[in-house]
Amino acid sequence: MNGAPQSLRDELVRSIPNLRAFAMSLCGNSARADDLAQETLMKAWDKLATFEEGTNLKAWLFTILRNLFFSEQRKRRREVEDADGQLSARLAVHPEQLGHMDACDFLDALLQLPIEQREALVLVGAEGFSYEDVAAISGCAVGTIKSRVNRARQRLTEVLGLANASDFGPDRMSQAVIAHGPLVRHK
Amino acid sequence: MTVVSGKPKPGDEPAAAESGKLDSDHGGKDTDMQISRGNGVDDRGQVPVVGEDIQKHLGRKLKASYDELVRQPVPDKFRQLLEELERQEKKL
Repeated sequence: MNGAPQSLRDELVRSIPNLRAFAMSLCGNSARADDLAQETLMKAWDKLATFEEGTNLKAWLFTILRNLFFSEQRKRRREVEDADGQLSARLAVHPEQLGHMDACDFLDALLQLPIEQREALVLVGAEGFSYEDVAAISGCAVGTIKSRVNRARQRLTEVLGLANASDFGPDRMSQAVIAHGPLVRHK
Repeated sequence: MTVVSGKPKPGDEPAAAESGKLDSDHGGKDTDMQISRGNGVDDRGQVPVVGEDIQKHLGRKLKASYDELVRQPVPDKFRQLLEELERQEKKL
């Protein structure tokens, strides 16, 4: 990263916790998440001189990370096909090292979402990127991102048994509301 | 920038373009993207929008869990990596 200004380096370093968190929410495995974040840093470091200042460094870093993740994912998928002679329908991820965390249940539910939906939901809902930024990061249309986020919410609602989806019917939610008052009531 | 199609722009993500699968929510191999839960979701991705209260609830849970991940201490190997990168750069 010859000649890259110190401010960019600092921002790169400040992004590390978020890169790790994003990687973790993609792969659900903290060792692999750290590898991904480190590869991202190396790649970014190499190319930082070509980074256009004034544009969104964080979005750029997240793009590098997700591209690394998805190409690795494709490679793994091919290896699985080679090994088994068939595609494993879902390469399972487990938040195995999150047992101590309060948020484990939610992350567990999150990891049950299809990867593309999870990615979109995390980038929009947790990282606070705009739909346009996420579309650029993921290399697809804004409408696709909106649809993925929407589906992710729907699926999470089901997985967490929050009702609303017809699979579950309204019962659990209404019972909770009757027992404890509204779960969420903001005006 | 206006993106009008669901396809990645050329050069944006060559690997995805090569496989032609990633960007398609209905790609044949991405079976995990196919929703067949009999919950009113059709294969065009028309999903009923989750109620506002549930959306807020999910949003808060997501943010809280994610922030917990962000707050995890960064392992020392990251500092070592950065030092190594700095060292290599000085050698050039």
